[in-house]
Amino acid sequence: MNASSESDLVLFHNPHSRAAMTRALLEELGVDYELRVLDFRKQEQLAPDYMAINPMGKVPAIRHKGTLVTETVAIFIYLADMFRQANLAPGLDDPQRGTYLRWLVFYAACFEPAVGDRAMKREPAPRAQSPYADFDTTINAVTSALQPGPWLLGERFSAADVLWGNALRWLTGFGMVEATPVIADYVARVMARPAEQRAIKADESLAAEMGLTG
Amino acid sequence: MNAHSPVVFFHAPHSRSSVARALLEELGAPYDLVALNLKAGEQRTSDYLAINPMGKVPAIRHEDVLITEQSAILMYLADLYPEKNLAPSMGDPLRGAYLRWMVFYGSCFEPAMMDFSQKREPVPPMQCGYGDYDSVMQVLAAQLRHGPWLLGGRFSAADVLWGGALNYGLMFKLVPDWPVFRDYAQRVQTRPAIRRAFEMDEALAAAQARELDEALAA
Repeated sequence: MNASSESDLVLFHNPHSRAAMTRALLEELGVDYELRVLDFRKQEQLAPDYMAINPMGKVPAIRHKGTLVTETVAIFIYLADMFRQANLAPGLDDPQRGTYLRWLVFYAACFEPAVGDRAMKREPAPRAQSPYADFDTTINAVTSALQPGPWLLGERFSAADVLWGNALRWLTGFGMVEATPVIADYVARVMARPAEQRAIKADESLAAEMGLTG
Repeated sequence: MNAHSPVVFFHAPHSRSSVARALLEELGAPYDLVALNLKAGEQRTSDYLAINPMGKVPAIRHEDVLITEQSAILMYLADLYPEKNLAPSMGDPLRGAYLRWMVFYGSCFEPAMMDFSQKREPVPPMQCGYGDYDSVMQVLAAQLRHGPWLLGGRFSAADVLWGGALNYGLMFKLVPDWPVFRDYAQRVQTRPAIRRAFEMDEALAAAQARELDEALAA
């Protein structure tokens, strides 16, 4: 496919990766997007073409009207602001903007490192350096934020819920995070949304087409 | 929301929050400083853990809303003062790159430095790791070679972050001692507002050390 026929918004994707969260966000935003699927078995994420897009060799990445964005949380902030008619991001002058950014960044800066260390069965770095204190403190912080509900920002559903709902769905599914009632209910609430169901089904079909299942 | 009302700034010298202070100075933003003495463990008191359960600085409170996490605070503050032009606005083609590098700090750079300092392996790709130390450093260096700033000709809040981060990394030998990192860190750290923040922090650190000595002697 040549560049001139490319749509305004491209998602570089793999159904069994973090990129599934971005696909769910695109479905929630209700925008048209073109999918470029990278097959990890063929190491397509490390091919020169893709390394020019994301030199970290990871998905997701998006290209929106020529602007490249990588890193899931950056993509979330970018897309939810860009398609603000979907009302998934508090505006710059909205009092909830700070809370929204806090929990989006917390995911990348604290939660993923905490889960990574847990997966590696190792201790966090010493307290003075560790970005996340310890695993239990991190999970407790998230739980406290989710407890009032129904969403992270209270009554208001946002892109942060798409991120956390999907991340917690994966991690409770793999047994990496305990499905406490607060977390399990929240995941169920997010996943009951039609856009989330659409994204899951689309990625299940894609995985089957790629021969990634069964 | 009154965008320019003062920010309550929870801070400690010689910590991650030096970068947030530098940005407040660059923005000329009014702030009320709440200084924590890390050596006295003030970041782990129950009062402070109610503000940031992670027990780290920076944190800010603005219009009764608490914000934690370095990059979240920087993005929030830079957007509060659009007239200072330290964040590409929405619709600016550089907005995406700006957000990317703001997030890359917490999602890739800090984990890479942590693994390096702890002499341990990164989390593998199949478990959604950030990548590996060498890639993180190479990718950052490649971006900075466009110079003079991270986004090319345009100085932004991302430079306040990365100048401070590389300065710290070089000081503690957690990043490679490459000219591209040294020159860039120097370029950022010699800006007048950032010098000012640094000097105020040196004075604050000295005052905190005196107080702690006196408390221990008492």
